[in-house]
Amino acid sequence: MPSISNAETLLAIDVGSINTRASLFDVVDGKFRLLASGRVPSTDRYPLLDFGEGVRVAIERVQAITGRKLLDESENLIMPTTGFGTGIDLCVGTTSAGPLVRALLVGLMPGVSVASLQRLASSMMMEIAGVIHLSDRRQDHERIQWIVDSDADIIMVAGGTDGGASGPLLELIDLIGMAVERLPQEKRPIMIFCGNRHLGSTIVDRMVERTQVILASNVRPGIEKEDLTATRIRIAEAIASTRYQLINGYEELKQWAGGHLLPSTEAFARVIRYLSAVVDSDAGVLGVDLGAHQVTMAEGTPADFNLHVRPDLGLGEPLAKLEEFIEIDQVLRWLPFEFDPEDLRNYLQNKALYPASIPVNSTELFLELALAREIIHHAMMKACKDWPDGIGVLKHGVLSAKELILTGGAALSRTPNPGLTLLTILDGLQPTGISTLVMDPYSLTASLGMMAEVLPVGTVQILGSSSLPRLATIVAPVPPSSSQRSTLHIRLDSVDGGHILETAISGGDLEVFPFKPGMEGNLVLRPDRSLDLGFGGAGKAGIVQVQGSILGIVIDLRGRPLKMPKDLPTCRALNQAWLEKAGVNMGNGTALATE
Amino acid sequence: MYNTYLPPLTHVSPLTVIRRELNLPRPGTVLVRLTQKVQGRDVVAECEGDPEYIFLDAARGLGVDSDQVSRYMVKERNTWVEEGDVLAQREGLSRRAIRAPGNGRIVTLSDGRILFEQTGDLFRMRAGFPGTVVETDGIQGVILETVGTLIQGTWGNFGQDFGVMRLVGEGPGDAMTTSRLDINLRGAILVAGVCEGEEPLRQAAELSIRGLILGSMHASLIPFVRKLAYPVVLTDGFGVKGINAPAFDLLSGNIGREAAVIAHSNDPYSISRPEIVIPLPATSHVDIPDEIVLLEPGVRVRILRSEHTGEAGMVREILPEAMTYPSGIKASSAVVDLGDSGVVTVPLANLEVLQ
Repeated sequence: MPSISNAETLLAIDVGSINTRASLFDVVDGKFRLLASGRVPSTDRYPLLDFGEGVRVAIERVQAITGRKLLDESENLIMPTTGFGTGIDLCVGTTSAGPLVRALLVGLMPGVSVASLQRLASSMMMEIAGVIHLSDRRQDHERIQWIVDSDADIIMVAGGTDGGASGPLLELIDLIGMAVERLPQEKRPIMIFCGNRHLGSTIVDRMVERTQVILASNVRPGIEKEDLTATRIRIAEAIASTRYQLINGYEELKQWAGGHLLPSTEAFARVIRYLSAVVDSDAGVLGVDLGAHQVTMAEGTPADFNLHVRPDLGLGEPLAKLEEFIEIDQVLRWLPFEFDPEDLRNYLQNKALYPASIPVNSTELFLELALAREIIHHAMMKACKDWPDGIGVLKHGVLSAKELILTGGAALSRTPNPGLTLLTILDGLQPTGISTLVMDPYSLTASLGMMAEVLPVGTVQILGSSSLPRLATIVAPVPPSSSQRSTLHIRLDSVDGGHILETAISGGDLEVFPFKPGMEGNLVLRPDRSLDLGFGGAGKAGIVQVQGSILGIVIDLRGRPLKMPKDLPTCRALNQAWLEKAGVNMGNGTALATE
Repeated sequence: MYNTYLPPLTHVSPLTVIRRELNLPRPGTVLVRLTQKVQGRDVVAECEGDPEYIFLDAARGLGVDSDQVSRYMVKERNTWVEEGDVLAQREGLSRRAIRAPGNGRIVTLSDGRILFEQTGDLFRMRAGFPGTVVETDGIQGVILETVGTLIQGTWGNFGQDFGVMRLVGEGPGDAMTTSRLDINLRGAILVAGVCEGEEPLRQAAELSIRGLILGSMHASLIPFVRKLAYPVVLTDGFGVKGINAPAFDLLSGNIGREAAVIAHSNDPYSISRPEIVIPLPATSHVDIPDEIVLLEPGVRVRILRSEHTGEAGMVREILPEAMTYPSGIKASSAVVDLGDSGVVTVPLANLEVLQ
């Protein structure tokens, strides 16, 4: 039986809220490569309530594409490989399907343990049912009432530094105990304690007959120290057991994966964390995953990492409540044509009813991408606000420069023209500085994050392969707003010294210069005194090495933050012009991925 | 193994067995027995209403130290008490008592305080539609069965009621307008194609209608409709689409009959959906509808978006290759025969099965 170290064939299964994917990786010419990917609708919902069905069909698709037998007659995974070209060596899994878990947060001080709990919760797929703390001005009976009425699946409790004071925390625990006891056994929430570690056994003793208690490491081991990562993984396991109580297939997948099964958001975060270490730049790496039922933003530098998950935003069911966060007019300003706001409201509700449906005409496609822009922008702004010390933010509403931006999600990867994806990211994220934009057309990122645990060399090699193509190199100076008077002179030379391009771009303009995959060159950037490209101040020139990409080099001098005109007709004209610059000719593009 | 495409399924069935599970929010008493026939408004089970929790400061009320309160307790934990009953009492010259603020029970004694659970008004669960009790656990759940027409919708405002169906307008796309509402519709369940404003909905409330079945309405009406006292079910979604033809045929063919409007929200993890149940006499053997129908030639489907939205037809062929659409997106597709509207190619993701 192959060990992990000499494993060559790996199957990664990702069970999403809309689609289930099986991706087969194998060694080709000495390097791990994606051989085939099979995608089918997920089957976690009624009437099947069993995502194992979708998993098997997805694997059958891979079998059909590759001709490699992966399932035996009993429909079990053939593992390890047999030597007859059948089976796999390893399996890993990621999941984001299933009902959302409701969590009640209980802590001592709002600015300390509660803040850590809120940051922890905002980095996971969960819905916050409420927050209870010592200063919440509620009386004890009101807290009990709230806990009983909250319909929470889990109660996350934090507070106290390790070995610190215990009295107030134990009083809260007793209150939770009284409340939980009022609920029928099957409705009692699991308690996850991630506070003062010295109180763990006391809390278990007090709660053990009332509900299940899970102990995780302290999110605040010291008053100035926060540690969320280990706790997050522990909680992810607890969430999975809660989330999949009513749905079959999870335990089987866990067995197939030999325990290498994580929430997709956590696995996505691992890739960004890994890339930020590899890139080794203070600018860091940003990951954006726009799904039907969540948006994940992950940002990492060699020194820091932050994760933000929004289960209330996405291009599926969350659209029904989009207006709680985003005004309709903000969406309309990204359309290149006139559209009735009432029709957009109807569109949101209908899409929420049928989240798996896809845009057939260009009007619907532009609507989805306009929604994607605003959702990404809103999620990014909120993430930057929540992350400690305003990390990732250059100034209000402006993202700091990133070395690399990785984007995923069907809406971004299935666009028929890469220019549409580019504009959606540029307008939504509004990156600054000089960044490489990488796409994930086969939705591999989460699987690669999980793969890194068992086969890190595979993850490294796939990340560097054409399975995650470079979409563009983006040059977006800061800070100018859309000053028409600023100018950026650029010159692009190939690595062998050949001259490719020399031009000047004016403030307010967006330009795309082709520079094909496989090419390498040096980009000389000479901004005028109003522009800052991160070369040591405004007006400073510099040279960067660039690699070719699907679209090439994108110079975005439209300003940061990008201020759209107030009147919609002007917005429409601008959108049309930018689409033309990005090479978008509807109906004549090449899809990055096929449905 | 469902090795072909498994689409969403909506029941629009002229005659089928409809079996629905009803559950109290907490254990209580089931008031019906197996095989008992019930009417839509019959109460089939009841339980205590939502409890309210109150801390009674017994130590202060009795004038004793917190750790002394247990000595003065008159009622034990979990004992049922009625409003005004003495819970704890201190005899002697300065006689003091702690009384129950309402009907309920003592939950616990903590730090000199009594945690009291005051029970809410009785919660009564009604049958919702006429049927027969086919299963019950005796304390919380009842399964009712009936035979009739079942039309599942896309959205509901959470209410539920039962009454005689009346048609507003004549066709599947006709709007419910104030001019079409009159006193003859009082107490009825109304069927209309669309509704484009609040005023007809308000006027319908004044007529004390029992429910409203619409093809669609504007999304901006959602907050208003959620506050209405009567249940509203949309068969087709949001906008100005009328009622889809198969559903309208069934509804218009049963005008004058009693129907249940069950305006539940969609729960993707249970059978719960907004639906209309029209009980009918069973003249022959009737089957329980399938919950799993694969997409294959001959299956009846409805188009969910873009051109021909809401139109129903028959699958002719599942195409072996992905098709490219005007949006530029490539998708696995089916050829669907829409009858008078012609034959169209539709992404599988944009189809639902009508059964």
